[in-house]
Amino acid sequence: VSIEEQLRATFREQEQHVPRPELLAPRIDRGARRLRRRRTRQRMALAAVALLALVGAVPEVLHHWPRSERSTSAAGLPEPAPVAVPAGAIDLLLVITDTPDGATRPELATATVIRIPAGHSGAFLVSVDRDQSVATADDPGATLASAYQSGGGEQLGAETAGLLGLRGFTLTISLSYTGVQLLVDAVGDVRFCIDHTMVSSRLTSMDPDPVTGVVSPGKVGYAAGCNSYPGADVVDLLRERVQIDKAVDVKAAADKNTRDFLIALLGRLNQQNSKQLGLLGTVVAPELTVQPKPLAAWDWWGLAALAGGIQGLQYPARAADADALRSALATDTLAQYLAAHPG
Amino acid sequence: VSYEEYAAARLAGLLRYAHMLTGDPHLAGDIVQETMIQVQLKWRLVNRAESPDQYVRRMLTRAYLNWRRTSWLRRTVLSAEPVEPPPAPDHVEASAERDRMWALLGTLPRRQRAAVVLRYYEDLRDEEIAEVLGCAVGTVRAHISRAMATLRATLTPAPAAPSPTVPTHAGGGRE
Repeated sequence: VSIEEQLRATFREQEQHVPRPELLAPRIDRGARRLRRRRTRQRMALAAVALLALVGAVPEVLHHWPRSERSTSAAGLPEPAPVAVPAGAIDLLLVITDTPDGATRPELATATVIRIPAGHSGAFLVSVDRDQSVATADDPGATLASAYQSGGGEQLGAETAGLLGLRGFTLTISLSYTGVQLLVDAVGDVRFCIDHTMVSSRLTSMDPDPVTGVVSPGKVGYAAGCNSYPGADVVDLLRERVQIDKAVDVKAAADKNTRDFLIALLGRLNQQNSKQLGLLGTVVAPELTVQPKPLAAWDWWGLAALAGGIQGLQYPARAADADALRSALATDTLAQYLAAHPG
Repeated sequence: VSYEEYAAARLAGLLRYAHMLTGDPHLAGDIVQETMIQVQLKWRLVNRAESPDQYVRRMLTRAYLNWRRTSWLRRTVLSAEPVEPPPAPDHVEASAERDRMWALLGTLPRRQRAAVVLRYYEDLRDEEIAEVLGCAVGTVRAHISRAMATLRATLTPAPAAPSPTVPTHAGGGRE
C-alpha cells in the first residue's frame, strides 16, 4: 500500500472523530452576536471620541485632573473649579463584573476597596472575597455576590461597607471585563506578576512545542512569574479559578491576581497624559458605571494612581484578623496593620 | 445564497477539513467557530467572491496557520492531554499503521500538513492549494514532497536500522 493510499485511508478513518456541526452552529451565532455588539460599542466610543475632540470637549472632561500637565481647553472655554477633595480618608469601591455566556445580567467577579488614607499619600487595595457571607436572619445564605445580583452596586456597597465597618463609599466604580480589556489594550500591555501557575479553562493550544516541534493539543495556562499581558489575556487570567498548585487557596490567589493587576494598571494610567486619559475614559465609558457622579470617577482614579506606593491586602478569612483589619480601617492605620500582618 | 444556507450546507465539511488540519476535534471546533463568525460578519464580501467555498477554506487555513502563534511568550502548554482518549489498540496491522500515520501527521510543520490535507483529503489541484496557502505552486510541491519524504522515512525504516520512535500527540507538552 502506498503512502498516498495510507494517507487517504487515515483521513477516512478519522472522519468518525469529527465533531457534530449542530453543536457548533449556536456557538457561532452567539459569537457573531457578541462580536457585533462589541464592534457597535467600539464604533460608538470612537464616534464619541471624534465628537468630543471636534468640539474641544476633551479638555473639559479632564479639567479636574490633578496633574501639572493638565490640558487647557482647545476651545478657550473657562476652566471650571476643581472638585473639592474631601479631607481625611477616602474609600472607593471598585467592582469588576462579568457576564458569562447565556447570562442576562452581569455578575460580581471581584470587589476591591480602595482606601486612600488621610493625607492622600498612599493607597491600599483591599480584596474582599465575593463569596464572603453577609448573612442576615432573612437571608442566611447571602454573600457579596448575591447582594450584587439582587441590588446591584448600591447594595453591594452597603454590604461591603457593613462588613468592613466603613461608613460608606465616596464612589462605587463598576467596570466590566470588556471594559478591562478595552482599557488594557488602550494603554498597551500591563505587566504584573502572578504567584501561582493558572490553568485556562477557556483556551487550548496547538502550537508546536518549541523544543520537540510536536503539536500537542493540551491545556494552556499562565505560568507563575512576571509578564506583560494584553487585554484578552488579562481578562482570561483574572476570570480563572483553576491553578496547578491545589494546596493554595484558589480564591485568594485569584483575588491577588486581580489586585496586582489593578496596581499595575493604576501605574500605567499614571503614565498617561491628561489627554490620553480623557480618550481612555471615553473609550471605556460604555463599560463603566460610577455612582453617584460619573465624570468625577477619573479624578479619583487619578488620585489613587498619583498616591505614592499602592499596597494590596486581602480581607482575611480568620475572624481575629478580620477584626484587626476593621479596626485598622476605622482608625486609618492600614500601614501598621500591614506591617503586623505581612503576606 | 444566504449565510444560513451556506452554513447548513458546508459546516460539516469545514469541520472535517479542520479536524484533518489540527488533529484534534475540539481545536477544529474552535477554529471553525472563529472562522465562521468572521464569515457571518463579512458574508456579503464572502458571497461576492468567485468561489465562496475557496474563500472560506483560505480563511480557515490561515486561522489554523496563525492559531495562537503569537501567544507562546505569555502562555504555556501545561500538560498535553488529548481531549478524547485514543482509540483502543487495534490488532489489525492496517489500523495500527493508520494510527502511526495520524500521529506522524501531527509532527509535520503546519504548512506541510495543510498542503498534504488539501491534496489528499480535499483533493485540490496544486494551483488551488497554492491559492489557499498564498504561495507559489512550486512551494506547494516542495511542501508536499518534504512531508511525504518525512512520512515515508519514518513509516518504512531502513532494514538494518532500528525502528525510530514515533512521537505521539500526547508526548510533546511542557510541564
